[in-house]
Amino acid sequence: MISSTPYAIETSELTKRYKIRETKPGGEQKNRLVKLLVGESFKGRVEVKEKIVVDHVNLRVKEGECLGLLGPNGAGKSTLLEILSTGVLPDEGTAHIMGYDIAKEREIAKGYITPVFPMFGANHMWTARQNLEYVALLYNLPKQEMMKRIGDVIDRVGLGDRVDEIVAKYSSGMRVKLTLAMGLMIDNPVYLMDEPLVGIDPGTAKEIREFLRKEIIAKGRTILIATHILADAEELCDEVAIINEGKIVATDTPANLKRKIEGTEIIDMEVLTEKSQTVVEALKKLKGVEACTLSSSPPDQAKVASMKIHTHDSRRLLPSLIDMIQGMDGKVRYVKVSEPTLEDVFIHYTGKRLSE
Amino acid sequence: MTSLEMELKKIWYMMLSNFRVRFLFAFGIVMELINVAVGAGSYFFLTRVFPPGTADVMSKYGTDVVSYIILGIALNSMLMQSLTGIFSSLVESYYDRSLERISLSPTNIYTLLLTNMMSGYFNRALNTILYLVIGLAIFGMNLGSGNGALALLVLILGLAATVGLGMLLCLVFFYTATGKGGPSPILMFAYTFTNAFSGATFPIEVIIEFAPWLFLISAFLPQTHALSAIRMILNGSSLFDASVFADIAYLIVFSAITIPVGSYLIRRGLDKVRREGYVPPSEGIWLFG
Repeated sequence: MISSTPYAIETSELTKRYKIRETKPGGEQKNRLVKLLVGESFKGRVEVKEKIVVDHVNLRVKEGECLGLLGPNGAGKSTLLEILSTGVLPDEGTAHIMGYDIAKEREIAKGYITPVFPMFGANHMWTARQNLEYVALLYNLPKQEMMKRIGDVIDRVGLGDRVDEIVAKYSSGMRVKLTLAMGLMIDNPVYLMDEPLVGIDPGTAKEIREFLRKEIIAKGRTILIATHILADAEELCDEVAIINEGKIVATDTPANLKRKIEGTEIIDMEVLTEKSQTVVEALKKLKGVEACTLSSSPPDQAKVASMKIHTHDSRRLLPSLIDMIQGMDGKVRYVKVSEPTLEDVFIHYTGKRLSE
Repeated sequence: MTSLEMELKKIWYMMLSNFRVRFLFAFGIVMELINVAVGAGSYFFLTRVFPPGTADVMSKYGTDVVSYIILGIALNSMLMQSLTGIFSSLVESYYDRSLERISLSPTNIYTLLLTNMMSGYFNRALNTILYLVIGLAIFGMNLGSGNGALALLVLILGLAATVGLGMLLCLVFFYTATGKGGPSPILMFAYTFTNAFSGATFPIEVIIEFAPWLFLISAFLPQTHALSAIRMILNGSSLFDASVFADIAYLIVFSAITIPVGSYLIRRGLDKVRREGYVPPSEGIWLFG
């Protein structure tokens, strides 16, 4: 039954658990059958663990709004989208799309959804046009609308002149563009987009964001976009929800989120050291340091550690920071103090970088 | 356009696209032709080395050994598609995520399964025709002078009954991790098992002499009954011949039980996939999950 909610997407305590099987090295294999089958070559133990991938998520997205789900890999973004798209059932809680329960009124709810999931991929032995026609066919699009839509999306993603080539001949970037085009073939009121612009060059990504703003958002469509690209969140989204280990830890407009950590200064440092992890752990304990994260070094500069430190008073902190690094045989080669970005907001709430 | 017409249009479109892919690789078809000729030839030359020693058994089917084997291999190709088609389709679409893509769309999942089955039958039918043409033209195969239309009807019934068994095979996919690990081991098992016990390449009566209990396996497989009835019809037996009638009755009962049960279990299995999510098998060795 349709509810009187003004929300296009609404979840309440939505939870999903997955059974994860892990091989623990060493130990005695107790299962006799496994022993019999694999003999002495398998020394590990298989453990089955339950992992909460979506943890009591409460979200509300009004019609015509764009909400960004900002989180690192493995944060639960894709699973949340899979549940909302009706592909996977939740273990607990409820979710409604345009007022329809995704579990109890699935057939109606999915009629309102445009899933833009690059993981679905394309058939590599078909041409791009065949793949697009296939999606149109799955969604019962009339022929005229299908032709128009193919023309629109293929031009937008820049595959116009190669639409009749088989996909196997495409570069990886072109394949990503095609899977995005396949998602955009369908125009339903609620767009669920899972990392749609990953693997697309910055120029095309900018054009596609422009397309989403002018052609999708301006038409009043609702978008829930999972991303770890800051430009997606800042340029497209009215609000951003930060998700970490399955939990939504903060939701607000990008400007408000930045304001919430107002007063925080960000120190970006490059340190020459062979024990970067030890240095980071030591800095985290230093008085005045709110958060400290390490990003991976470029392969050709293995001894250079890039660190990001959150503090309320960089002038007071910097001398003791440099002293501590030098005391651990490190050398500071670059320092920059700046205002927080959305990524810093993310670090503030999760203690992790988006790229982790 | 009615929803049935829509689904048929989708099946036609997807099959057409699959055929185009198949004919992209014309060399593959030439290789298949050579493969069939060599396969049929191997049995032909083998019978030249070892003269048939099962004349009594063969008399039931009223044919010679070479004709028996080539017809068996030709029809078994189609029957194998029935047995493994749905299973293969489920595993492949699970991993390339087309199962999930379709489940999110207004299209019925059975449309996908049916399309893959039909494409498979088309390919296998080509294989069957190649075997029969090469057998007749080169190796002196005798197809008999019986009622061809009735034999074709029994083949269709046999295909339906074997689809029922194939649906039950899908339980391996839904309820064991081994099944999700990929189609190859299961398909190899099904292929070897049915080739050995369905009477495709030798009469099952030979098994009774060797180990009577193995006959139970043969008697259970619908392929055994389909192949036996087709051979006898092609060699002049009528529908009311006791043995043919019993085979056909078995196929009807087998289909009537396994197809509805299989459909129900596949529906339940698809619900299970939705509950568990599209999680690839983790590392380690595990049998059930």
